Amino acid sequence: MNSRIRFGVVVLAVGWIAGCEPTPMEYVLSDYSQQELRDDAQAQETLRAALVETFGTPETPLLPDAIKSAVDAKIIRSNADGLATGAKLYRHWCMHCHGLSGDGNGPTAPFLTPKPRDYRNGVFKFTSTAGLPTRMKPTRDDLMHTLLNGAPGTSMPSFRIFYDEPNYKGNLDAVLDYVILLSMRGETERAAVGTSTALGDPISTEMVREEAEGVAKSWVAANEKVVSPTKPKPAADPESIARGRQLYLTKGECAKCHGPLARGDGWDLDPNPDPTKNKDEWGSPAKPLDLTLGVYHGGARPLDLFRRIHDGVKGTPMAAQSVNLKEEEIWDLVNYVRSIPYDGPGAAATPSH
Amino acid sequence: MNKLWSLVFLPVPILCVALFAMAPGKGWWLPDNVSTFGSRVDDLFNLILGIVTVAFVATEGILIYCLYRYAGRGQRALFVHTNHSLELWWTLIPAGILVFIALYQFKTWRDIKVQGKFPADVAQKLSRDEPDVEVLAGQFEWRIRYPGKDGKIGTLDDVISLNDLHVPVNTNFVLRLRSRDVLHSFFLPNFRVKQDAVPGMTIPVWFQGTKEGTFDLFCAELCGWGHYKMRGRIIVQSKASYDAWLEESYEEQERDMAAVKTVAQTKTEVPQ
Repeated sequence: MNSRIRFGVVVLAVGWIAGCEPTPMEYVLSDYSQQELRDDAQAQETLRAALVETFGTPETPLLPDAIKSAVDAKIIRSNADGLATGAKLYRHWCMHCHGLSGDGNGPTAPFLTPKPRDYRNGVFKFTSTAGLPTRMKPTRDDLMHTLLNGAPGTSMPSFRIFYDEPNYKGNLDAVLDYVILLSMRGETERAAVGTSTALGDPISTEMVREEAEGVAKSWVAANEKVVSPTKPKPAADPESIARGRQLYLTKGECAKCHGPLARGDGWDLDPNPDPTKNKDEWGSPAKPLDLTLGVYHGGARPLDLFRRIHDGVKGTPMAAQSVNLKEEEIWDLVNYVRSIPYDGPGAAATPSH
Repeated sequence: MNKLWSLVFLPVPILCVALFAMAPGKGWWLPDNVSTFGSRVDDLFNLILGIVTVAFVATEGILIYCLYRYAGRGQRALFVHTNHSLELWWTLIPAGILVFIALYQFKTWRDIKVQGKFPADVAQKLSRDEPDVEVLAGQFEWRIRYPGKDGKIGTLDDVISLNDLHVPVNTNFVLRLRSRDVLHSFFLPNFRVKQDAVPGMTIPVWFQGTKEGTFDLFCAELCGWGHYKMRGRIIVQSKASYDAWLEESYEEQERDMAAVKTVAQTKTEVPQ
């Protein structure tokens, strides 16, 4: 009997000591870095240390001087304490899909289509910004719009009630600040490794700092590139919809990808598909949206659709049409696209009156 | 010494009953009831609680009595196999109670859940296929679709709300519940409404709010990793403010121009 009790105590003690030690939280190096630096353990270590020195750890994220321009432009609004709160809530709400490092590789991620966003290349699909480079950064408001409205048709839910509730006041802003920091950190890592490989220079803290400055500036630059329609949308009358249908099939080249019947099957019908076009920035299969569903990942407001057509969807084959199409033509397209789920893709091909 | 065990066990039933007795006064009891049929559900709950209390006190009493009475006699307990009359009674009495509960609750269940017995205006809305709103549960949010001006769901003027279910006060409100992916459960604790959302099924749910305010909407079926954040709100408001909210949401949904930020807006940082 005594030996049994002793055995039980030992088992409990072992479980207690071994099982309850919290695992230290650490950002992981990206696949890209690991690949590029695969023969150089020393460089990996230096990179890791330089990133910790610049951006901190998941528990104590830092606001380095290098990204001061983004802080001054109010792209990141929290101080270091606020970021720590944001990081904590990020782990509570976001990490199970987007991962501890913002690599879109949390424990739920393998089950999701489309995949959760990997922030680390600094590309976000749904932005109000346009211009060069084509992978223009979003504004802070764009990201908040996604947080508040989710991404319909994907697994990204809306967090609006946390924005309104007094208990959580300001916390969603802190989470967003932390997400932007993760994105900057990831892009800095990639840029530093890229520079080091290209120039043959060893990675240093100084190099990481310089790259971080550049990344922060690209966020600031995007703030100047917000595109908004200058005229309101015309009424969705049959003429406008018919013009939209014509543009869809011809000048806008929408049918090439989205298909003549708007089912997102343009590539499947193409006898000579372009193989470079089937992957997005993140290496996932890119799929033209089935427009008959009436579900738009980036939002369904006319303003959202205008921006998707005008500015493209960043990181995907959906290119900006701002040069190709005039503003009123884009509005006709918006009217047509919005009519598809309800009236069918061909309803306006022959105006009935 | 051996009698001590009965003293150790005695506080358990006493504390349990005391806890239940003081819970309502302490605010540890059921959430505020704000629906018309909520009190009927609560009555059923209290009835079952009463039956269970009697059974609990009786069994605990017998247990503790036996612990006290027969402790320390130095003899082993008798093992009795088969006692027909005893087994008959301990089967028949609980079975009788269960049958009683099943029959007694039937009218309440029928009035709330059985489609043929819905209130006339609710039944009429459903027969015209024009419910007040459609709730689409999905991992991990409530996507709530109002019919808009034409009264039809599934047209371009539908108003879509996320996690916020607005309903007018003192009006029968009927919704169509669906699921996009897995099982969810639409749970309004303050309304005593709980209904599973099943993929492939369209399930009508009705209720009437009696008090203005904001209450919780939860998912009550473990639906995946993000189940814990599948939270919403139900906002019960006057018909006028409900209509105003619908109108405002529609305006926002139809927005085609970026907001020109005024100085006041820039201060509160309204996201576009």
